[in-house]
Amino acid sequence: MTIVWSLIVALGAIAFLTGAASGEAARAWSVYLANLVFWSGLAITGPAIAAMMQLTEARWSPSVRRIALTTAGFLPVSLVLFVGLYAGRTVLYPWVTTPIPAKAAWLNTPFFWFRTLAGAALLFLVAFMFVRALLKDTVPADHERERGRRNRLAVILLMLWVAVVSLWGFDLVMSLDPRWYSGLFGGYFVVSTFYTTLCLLSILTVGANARGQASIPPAAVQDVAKLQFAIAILWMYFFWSQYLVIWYGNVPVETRFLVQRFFAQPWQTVAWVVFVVGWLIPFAYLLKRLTGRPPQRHTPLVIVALFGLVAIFLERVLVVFPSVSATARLPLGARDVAITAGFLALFILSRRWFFSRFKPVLNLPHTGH
Amino acid sequence: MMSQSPPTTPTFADVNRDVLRTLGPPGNLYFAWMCVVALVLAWGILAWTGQIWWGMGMAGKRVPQQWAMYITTFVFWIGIGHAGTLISAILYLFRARWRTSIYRAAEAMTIFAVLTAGLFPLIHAGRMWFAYFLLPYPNQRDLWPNFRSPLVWDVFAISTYLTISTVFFIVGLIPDIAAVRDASTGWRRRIYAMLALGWEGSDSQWRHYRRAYGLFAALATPLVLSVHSVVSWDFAMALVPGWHSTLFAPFFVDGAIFSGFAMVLVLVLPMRHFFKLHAYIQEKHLDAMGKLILVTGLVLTYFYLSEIFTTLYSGDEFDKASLFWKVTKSYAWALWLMYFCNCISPLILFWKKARTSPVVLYVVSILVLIGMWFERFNIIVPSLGHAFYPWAWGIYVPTLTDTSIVIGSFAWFFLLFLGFIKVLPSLSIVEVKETLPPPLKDRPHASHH
Repeated sequence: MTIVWSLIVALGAIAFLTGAASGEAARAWSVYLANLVFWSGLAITGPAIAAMMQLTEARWSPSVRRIALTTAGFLPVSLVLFVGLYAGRTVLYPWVTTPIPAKAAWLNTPFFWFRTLAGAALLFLVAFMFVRALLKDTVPADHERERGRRNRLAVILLMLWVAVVSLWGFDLVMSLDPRWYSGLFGGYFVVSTFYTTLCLLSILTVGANARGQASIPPAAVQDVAKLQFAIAILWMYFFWSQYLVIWYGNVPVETRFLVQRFFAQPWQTVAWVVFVVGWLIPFAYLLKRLTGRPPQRHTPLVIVALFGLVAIFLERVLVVFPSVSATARLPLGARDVAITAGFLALFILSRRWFFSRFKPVLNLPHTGH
Repeated sequence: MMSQSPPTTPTFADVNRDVLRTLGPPGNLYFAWMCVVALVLAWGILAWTGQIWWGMGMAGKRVPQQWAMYITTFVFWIGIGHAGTLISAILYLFRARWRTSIYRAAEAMTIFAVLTAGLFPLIHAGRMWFAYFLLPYPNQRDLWPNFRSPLVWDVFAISTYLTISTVFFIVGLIPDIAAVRDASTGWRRRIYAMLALGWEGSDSQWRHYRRAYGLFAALATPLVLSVHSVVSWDFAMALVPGWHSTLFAPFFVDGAIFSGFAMVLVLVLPMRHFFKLHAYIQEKHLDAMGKLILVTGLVLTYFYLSEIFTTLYSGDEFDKASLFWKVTKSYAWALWLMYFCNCISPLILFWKKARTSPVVLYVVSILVLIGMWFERFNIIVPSLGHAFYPWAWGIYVPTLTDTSIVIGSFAWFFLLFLGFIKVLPSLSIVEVKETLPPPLKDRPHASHH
């Protein structure tokens, strides 16, 4: 399979390079950016979830915490891809070629790329330090000094995670349309990334059980599902908090962003798909899962988790594309799909690399609730 | 003040004895506190009477500062009411067992805080005999021509919150009231028997009780988000510089939880000291509360930074002017005090020693409460005082009347709470027992309740 995935990566790279060199460069770079923030968000939020579990002393499943760490394999690749984004700056960000004097202190090329690249590098470095610390099997769990070190790393990681992922929202996405602003957009980006990663964690948890890599009890899978449910609500709450205030205020500089996406085709359809597939259906199913005994079969959970992943990917497309070009079409062409498949393949390959490099033991003893 | 003896694991019988002891005849200290609180409240009521008699000018209400202290304090008390539901419902659903020792006091605090908050729209409206206009009843009289007004949403959100919180509180109390009933005599027994709703502790009753409790927890959870979000939209929906921000809903909710936890500590730490509840409210509980204050404080700092960032990033001259005015002019002291109390002071809780020290926690909690009151003040007063048109700018100066009423509201809140701790169990007998090892047969300490 590694060869197949590698071929898909190569195909994606060729599709992107030919696209970036063609007359549709804006489109190719838009797909690249949507994929970059989506997959990088997944990669860094896995360790962040493990850090939350570390700090809250969550004992309900050490295996789930280990699984969350494994997304970190994509981080080195992500850093390289962030550097690559620099080449698309003039295509993506209008303020590069036409600076806005009132915003030039923040939106200027050197400072923008310094904080983007330095922030990502620092965050990824701390994430790997945390991952290494957590994968030390030889350290007893009650070793106070090591526990203190892990806690410190977890605190730094989480603070950096919130700051850097917020900046991805503010800088990489919001500044595509430099006149539009929403104070919550950074926080919204963090929460939506968190939701996506919990969806991925549900899939990876069920998958690890199915492949015999771990024996996670149904109650622990249920807990992951409950977290997915809670953060789905938080995601919609953050969306609604922005939407309602902008709709009510009816200030043109703010509403323009919403009108493009929610009242004009083809984006209106995408917005509804994101809402129904990413929130309404998962909400309805996960609400049912809150009560009663944990089921033994998890196929519906995997399906709604996939829905969540797909929906947030579409949401990334929705926030990126109309800002880059008012006449942009849905990215459903062969080239667009190939680029996205390339990112997916890169993510899978880098996770495999993580397994071969760090050999994480996933089947840890379950200590109960 | 708050020294503690090393906690030992209490038995079931100890729990009954220690909790019921808190309902015993009050001492001189209790009466002294009651007198102080009652006197301050009487002063507040006198001030309110004066305001009704002589008019709203007594409260310094002049354009553009029509909201000033009353709405500041209203939002403050609504915020305080958040932690109770969070501790009762969300931490219950998350199976955070440390909540058992503090949730009862937090729930009571929630209800009293919302009752206190509810006074302020009446005080602020002036002619409170028309207050029934606010109640959600059918609209034949067209009293609510504008359902799009967030002020109308407020009425629905807060009355729903108060209803659910009260029912949740009462349901949780039933088994404990039964325990008090069994230990009481005379007229007290009759009253507690009525309140216990015929509780006998049968399997069937427990089953229904558990189911109802879980249901109410699930119902109450979205309210933690909804109530303060709606309150935040009273501001965010307007276009006043400094108000119109998409950040406001989660920012208000986080701030509410932050201040609510601080108030829980302000109430629980003296309770722990005076009722000698160290065996139940242990260092680990203080540690957990300290962590929650730290986390919510950091999130609040994140929102403050996001707010400043957005104002500068937006390029909006009015927003920037409003921010500049807040940071440097008439009310700058209030803004910097708020930053110190809400962003700097909780940082000490990074150290475990601080989180487990009642004195440090108490000081930080008081600072947080001061900071959170000033946060609402800084949102309301300087923003209204420096909006779009220079001819409409204006400074607000507190008067004796509105200051007395605001201080009186604190007295009203503490009066309710002091009354509560002598009438109802301030610690959950049932849930504390659930965290203890079960009594074994033939052990002398086994209790049958």
